[in-house]
Amino acid sequence: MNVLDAEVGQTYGPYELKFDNNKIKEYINCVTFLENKELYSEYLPPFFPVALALSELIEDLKLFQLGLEAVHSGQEASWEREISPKMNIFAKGKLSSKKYIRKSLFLVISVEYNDLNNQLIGSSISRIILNEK
Amino acid sequence: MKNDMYKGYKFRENKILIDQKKIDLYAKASGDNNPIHLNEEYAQTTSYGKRIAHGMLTLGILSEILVKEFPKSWYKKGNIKVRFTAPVFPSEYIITYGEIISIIEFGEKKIAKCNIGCKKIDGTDIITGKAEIVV
Repeated sequence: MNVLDAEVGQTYGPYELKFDNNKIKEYINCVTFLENKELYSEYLPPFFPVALALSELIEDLKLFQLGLEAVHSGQEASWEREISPKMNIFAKGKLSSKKYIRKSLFLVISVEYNDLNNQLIGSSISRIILNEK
Repeated sequence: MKNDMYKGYKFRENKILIDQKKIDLYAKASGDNNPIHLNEEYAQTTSYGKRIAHGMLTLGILSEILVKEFPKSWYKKGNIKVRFTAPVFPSEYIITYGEIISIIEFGEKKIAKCNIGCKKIDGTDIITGKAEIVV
């Protein structure tokens, strides 16, 4: 449901996050330093699942199809354990807050990341401001 | 955590070029194909007037300085909270920085609390925030 129609509490997903080797390689090539690369033969950079989940949410919220300008103003993330590329991770999003202040719409979107056994791996909060173009 | 870390320890700064090639590659890897990052014509219609890098690209890079500083800890358990305060345009350099502001001991573990961020060469803040790492 697009974000203008959605009410606070609206959930999104769960999205099954897929870590194929090419995408992992591309992501690591974008963000990491040479000396970190070896580490990631076994584990994923912690922000990779957050980035994938956020992309799914942006699509479902239709942030860029509403003719508004979206500004990513803040980000929080926490994780409880290392993330292996072989893990099945499910990201469940929720519109936690939606407030109009003047002509801007302030959104808070929270996401929980769970494994196949529904054990919590981590969580994230994205703060997004929508402005009229 | 390296043995020589202490309250006030400053991370080595890293200067990194954010070019359009990196932005395109990040879009492909993350699936975030928002035209504000990829389409110059579209970006010109926005308040930025040109394409900008994904905030999560810059944040992903910032997270990597914590992997460098806490190589056996950061990817295992941690938390981070940041604000994006300025956009990054293609062909701009970012400088990552960080500092340990406190180390709390509990049992055999420690929590290192850090101020972290990215700035432009002219000193403009791009990202400011805090991170906690269990070591």
